[in-house]
Amino acid sequence: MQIHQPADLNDAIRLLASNDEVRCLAGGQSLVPMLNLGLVDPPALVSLRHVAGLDRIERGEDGSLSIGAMASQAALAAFQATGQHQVLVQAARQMAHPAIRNFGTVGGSLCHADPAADLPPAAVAAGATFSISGPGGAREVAAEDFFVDYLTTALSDAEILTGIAVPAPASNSAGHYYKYARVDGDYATVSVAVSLSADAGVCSGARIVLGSCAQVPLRLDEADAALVGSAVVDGSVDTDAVARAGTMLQQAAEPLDDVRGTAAYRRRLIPGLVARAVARAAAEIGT
Amino acid sequence: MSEKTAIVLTVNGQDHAVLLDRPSTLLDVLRHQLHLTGTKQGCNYGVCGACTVLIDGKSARACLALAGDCGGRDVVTVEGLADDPVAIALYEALVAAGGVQCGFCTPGISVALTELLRERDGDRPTRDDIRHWLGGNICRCTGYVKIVEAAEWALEMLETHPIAEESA
Amino acid sequence: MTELPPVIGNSVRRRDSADKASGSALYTDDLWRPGMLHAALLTSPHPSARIISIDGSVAAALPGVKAIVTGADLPTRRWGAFVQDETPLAVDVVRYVGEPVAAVVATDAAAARAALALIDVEYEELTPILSIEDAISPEAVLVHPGFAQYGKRGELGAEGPNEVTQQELTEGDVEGAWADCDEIVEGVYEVPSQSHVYLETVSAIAEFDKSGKLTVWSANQSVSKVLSTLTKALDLPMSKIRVITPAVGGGFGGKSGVTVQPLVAHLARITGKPVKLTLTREDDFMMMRRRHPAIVKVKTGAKADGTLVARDLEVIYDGGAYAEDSPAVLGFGLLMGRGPYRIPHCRLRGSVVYTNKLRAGGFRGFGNPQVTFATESQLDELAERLGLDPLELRLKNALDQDELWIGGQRITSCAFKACLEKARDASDWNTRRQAGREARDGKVRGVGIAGVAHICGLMGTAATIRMAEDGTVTLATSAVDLGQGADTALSQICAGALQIGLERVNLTGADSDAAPYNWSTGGSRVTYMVGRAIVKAADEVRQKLIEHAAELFECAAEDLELRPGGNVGLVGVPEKIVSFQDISLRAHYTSGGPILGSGALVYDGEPFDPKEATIRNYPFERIGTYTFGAQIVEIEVDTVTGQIEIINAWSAHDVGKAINPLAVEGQIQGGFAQGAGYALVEELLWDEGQPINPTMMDYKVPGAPDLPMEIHPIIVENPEPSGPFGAKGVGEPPLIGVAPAIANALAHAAGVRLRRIPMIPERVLDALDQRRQE
Repeated sequence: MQIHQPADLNDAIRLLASNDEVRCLAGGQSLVPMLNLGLVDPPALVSLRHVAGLDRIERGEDGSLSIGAMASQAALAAFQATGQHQVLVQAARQMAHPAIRNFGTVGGSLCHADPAADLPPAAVAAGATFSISGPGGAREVAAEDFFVDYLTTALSDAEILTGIAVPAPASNSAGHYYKYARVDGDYATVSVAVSLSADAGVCSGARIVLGSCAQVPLRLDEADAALVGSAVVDGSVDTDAVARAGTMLQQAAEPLDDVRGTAAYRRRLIPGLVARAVARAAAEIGT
Repeated sequence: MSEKTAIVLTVNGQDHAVLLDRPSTLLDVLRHQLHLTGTKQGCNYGVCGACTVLIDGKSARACLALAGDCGGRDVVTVEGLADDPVAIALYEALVAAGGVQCGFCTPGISVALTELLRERDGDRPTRDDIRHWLGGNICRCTGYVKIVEAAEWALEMLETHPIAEESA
Repeated sequence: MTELPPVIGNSVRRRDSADKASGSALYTDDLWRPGMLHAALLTSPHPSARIISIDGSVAAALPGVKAIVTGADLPTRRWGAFVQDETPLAVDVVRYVGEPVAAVVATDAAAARAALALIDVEYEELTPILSIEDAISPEAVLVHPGFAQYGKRGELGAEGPNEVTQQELTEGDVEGAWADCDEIVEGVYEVPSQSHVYLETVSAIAEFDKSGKLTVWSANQSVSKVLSTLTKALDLPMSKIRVITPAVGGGFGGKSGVTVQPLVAHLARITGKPVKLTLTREDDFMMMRRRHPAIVKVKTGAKADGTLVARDLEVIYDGGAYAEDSPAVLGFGLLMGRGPYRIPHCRLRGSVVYTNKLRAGGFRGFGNPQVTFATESQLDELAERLGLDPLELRLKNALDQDELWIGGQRITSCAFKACLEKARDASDWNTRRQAGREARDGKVRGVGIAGVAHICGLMGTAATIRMAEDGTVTLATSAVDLGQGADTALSQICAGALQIGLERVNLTGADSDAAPYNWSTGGSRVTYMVGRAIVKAADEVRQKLIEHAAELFECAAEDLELRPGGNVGLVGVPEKIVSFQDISLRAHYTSGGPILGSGALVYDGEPFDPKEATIRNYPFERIGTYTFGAQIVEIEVDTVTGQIEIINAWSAHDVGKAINPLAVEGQIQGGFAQGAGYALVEELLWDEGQPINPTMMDYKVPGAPDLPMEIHPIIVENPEPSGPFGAKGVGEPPLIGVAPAIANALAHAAGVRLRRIPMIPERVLDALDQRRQE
C-alpha cells in the first residue's frame, strides 16, 4: 500500500481519480482502525496532510466561520466560538479523547459519516455549507445534503471535502451539543445538536438535529418550526413547544440498534434529551 | 504489495531509516523495528491509550498513525522523555502516589499527562481537566484515583521548582 | 502483640513502579529471541461444529510461512484443573466461536496473520448449546459427549445433561424453618459475563535449547500451573522445563489458568525455533476467559425483629465450553451463600453447566460476586419489608470472631461489624439515608450498602531465603506480581521478619529455575500464604544466625535475639552484638556453610466439619481464612435516561494488618472500579453463539471520567493469628459488594429494584417507567 503525499489539491484529486479503490487519508483516526481490523485494504492512500491551507479555522469579517477539512478536532474544540457556532465547538470537545482529537480532523469525521458521530449533527444544526473539489471543479453542498446514508456522503469519486462554512451567528443566539453515551468518549447513544436564536423574548430560529437516530443526522422542518415563535423567557423555551418538537422527532426517528442502545430505548430518550438540549441552549442565550 | 518503501522516521531526536513492506502503523515500527517497547499495544484501534506517543509535541495514538505518513514528523516515545523534567516529575509522582499497578497503561499515561502538564501555562489544569484528559487512557487496575492525584502532585512539583523545567 | 518492625505497615515505594512508569519494564511481548518466529491463530467461526477437513497447503506456500499446525498434528493429551477436557488446538470438533483451530508460524506476526485467511477449513455445523436453559434441558445435546471418559480430580457429582459439577452445603432444617419466619423474600437474580480486559493481552514465547530443555516466558498468574501443564502436554519431565514470568500487564484471574503456553511450546518443538504468540485484543476477548454468568435463586426468611432464620439458595453457573476452574468457582460461590451472617438454617446448592461459548474461569471474586449480588440485594429487600435500616439489619445478624462459618470452620479473625460501622460513620450513612429523594435536574440520589465476605488461603506454597556473604538476603518465591504489589509486600514481610532494611532484600523473579512452588496468584492469597512461608523461612534463617552467634558468644541460644538493622544481640546487653555480615562470612568460610532458610505449607486451617453440615461433592476440605468488608455507594440516577452515576463510595475492608497501606488502598480503589464496571456497563454478548462485542470499542470498561475521585478506602485492622504480622488478603473483596450496593442505592434513590446486572440505563429506565405507571 502506497501513501501519496501531494502538496497540491489538484494533485490529490488526480491521484484519487487514478483508481476507484484509492482512499483519502486525513487524520486516520477512523480509517486506520479499519485497516488494522482488516475491514478495508486500499491499494493506495492519498494523504491530505501536506496540501497547504486546508487546516485553517477562520472567522470572516462578517462573523461567518470557515473551517478547513484538515483542521484538527482539537483545534476546533479550542476555538472561541460565539452564538450558534458553539454547537460545533461543543461537539468537537466531546469527540472521543484528546489524543484522537489532536490528529482526527473535522473533514475526516464528516466524510466518514458515521451516524453516531458528533460533528455531522452539529454541522447540520449550525447550517454549514460544505465545499467540495473534484475532477469536475468545485461545488458547494448544504450539510444536510452531504449526508446521504450510513457511511455514505454526497462526494463522488475523486472528490475531496476541502472545508465547511458556517454563516455568521444571529445576534442573540446560542448552540448546544448534548451528548449521551454509555461511557465517556464512546459514540453517542443519542446526541442532540441545537442552534437557537431569539428576538425580543420570542424564538426567531431553531434547528434541532439528532445523532444516532437515523442513518444520517435527523432534522425536521416542522420540529424546528414548532419552536419558532414560542416564548423564550428567562433562558428557557416554552416547554409545550419543545415537547411538540421532541415528539415529532421521536416519531420520525429510525434509531440505530446496537450495543450502545436498542432502537426502542433510543427512541424513548428523544423527547427528554431534546428538552434538555434546548433548555441548555436557551440558558446560554439568557433573557 | 511486497515492494518495500523506505522512509525516514525521526524518533526521539534521531533519524531512523525504516523499510516498510506493508502498511505498518507507527506502533508496529516502534516496537518491532526500533525495539522501543515502552510504547505498548493494548487494542490496536485507538481505544486503550497504551500506545500514546507525542507527534510534533501532541499526544497521539501510535496505532492510528501510519508509519508511511509520519515522515518529517517529530515522534517522541516514552523512552525519549527520560530526561524530560515534566515526565520526570510525573514518574516521581506516579510512584509516590501509588499510581502504578500492573504498569501496562502507565507509559501511555505518562506521555499523555506530559502533554497536559507542559501546556499548562495560563490555565492550571483542574482535577476534572485531568480526569477528562485521561479519558482516553484505560487503566484496569487503579480506579484512576491515584493516577489523578499523581498528576496533581506533579503539577505542584513543577510549580514549586520551575527552574528545573527551564534548564532542559 | 509486640511492636511491629517499621517496614511493616509502611507504604514503601514499589520496587517495580519506576521502571513501569518510564516504559523500561519488560512484558512478554517486549522480549525477543534470536531466530524467533511468530504465530497467529485461526479460530472457529461456529459455536459447535465437526471439523471435516483442514487444508493449509495454500497458506503454507506463502513467503515467510514456516508451519501450519492443526490439532491433528499434536499429541492428544488433554489437561484441565478438574476435568481433563482441553487440548491446545481443537480436535475433531469446535465448541465455541473463537476456539483455536490451527496455528500459523511465520517469520513475522503480520505474515502469520495474513496466512490465516488462506487456510481452508470445512465444518459440519452442529446444534449449539447457547444458554443455561438449553444446557439443562433433558433433550439437550452434549457439549462434551466424551465427558464420562475424561480424567477428573475428585468427586464432581455431575448428573444432568452438560453438568460439570453439582455441589451442596446445607445446615439446619430449611424446609422446617420457613414456618418460624415472619417475612420471607424470594427472588431470581441474573448476572452477566464480564471480560477481564487486562491491558496486556495474553502472550508467550517458547524456546528449546540444544539439550532439549524448554524455556517459556509468558503472561500468567502461576509459574507452577504452567509448569505442571507443560509437563503433561509435552510429555517432558519438569527438570527439562523452565517457566519465567516477565512483568504481567494485569490478570484479575484471567491468566490464572494455562492459556497458550502448551501450544506455543509445541510450535517451538515443531519448528525448532523460538516462537512467540501475542494475542490480538479480539482474539483475547474471544478465546481467553470470562466471569461465569449465573442465575441465582434465593429465598431468605427472618423474624419481625430482623433476626435471620433461613435461606435457600440455588445457583447455576454457565461454565462455557471447558471446565477449567469451574468446580472451584462453584465451591467458592456456595461457601459465600450464607454471607457473614448468622442464619441457622441454610441450604446452598448449585451446579456448573457446559455451553458452546467461551470458557469461563477465575475472575476477581471467583464465584462470589454472582452469589453476593443476589444475597446482598435480597437483604435490602427484606429490610424494606421489615421496615428496618439495611445497615442495622446487617449489624444485627453479623458474625463475630470465633463463631462458625457455614461448614463448621471457626472464624479466627473477624472485623465485619467494625467494617460496617466504619463505613457507616465515614459515609454519614444515617444522614444520607434520610436525605430526601427529590429530583434535581432530572436526577435522584440514593445510597446503598453491601456486606462482603471472602477468603484467603488455598493450597500450597513455599519460599526460600538465602543469605549472601555480606548479610543481605535473596528471597525466592514464584508468586507472580500482577500489579497488585506482591513483590514489594513480600519483600517487606521478609525484611520485617529479619528486622532488616528493605534494601537488604533481593527478590528473585517468578522463575521456576530459581524459586520454589507456589500454587497461584489468586484467591487473595499471596500476602497471606506466601507471606506465611516467608515468615517460616525467615525463622529458619533466624535460628541459624542465633546458633552461630551462640557459638561466637559462647552463650545459650535462648539468650540471643535479632536486633533491628541486621544484628544478633545478647538479651539485656545492648552493646553485645554481632552483625549478619560477620555471621554470614563465618558461615560461608569457617563453619556451618552458607545460611539458607525455607518455609513451606499447605493451607492448614480447620477443615469442614461433616457434623455441622451436609457437604456434597465439595472440591476442597478447607479453603482459607475469612476476610470481611462493607461497601457503601452513593449514586445519582438520571430519570430521563436511566443512567447511574457513582458520586461517592466508601469501601471498608478487614485486612488483618496492612503490610503496605498504599498498596491496599490501590486494591480497594481498583477493585471498586472493576466492580462498578460489572454493576453498570460490562457484559459480553452473543447472538446465536457469535460474540457481538469482542472489541474495546464495543465492550466498554470505565474510564477516568466515568468514576468519581471519591472512592474512599477504609482499612480495618484486626490481626489474623495465622497471618504474617496478622495480615490477610484484600485482592478480591473490593469488587464483590459494589454491584449489590449500587442496586440497593438505586432502590433507595428511585424505588426500583433491579435483579439483573449490568444495570444498563435501558433496564433502569424500564423499571422507572414501570414504577411511574403503577
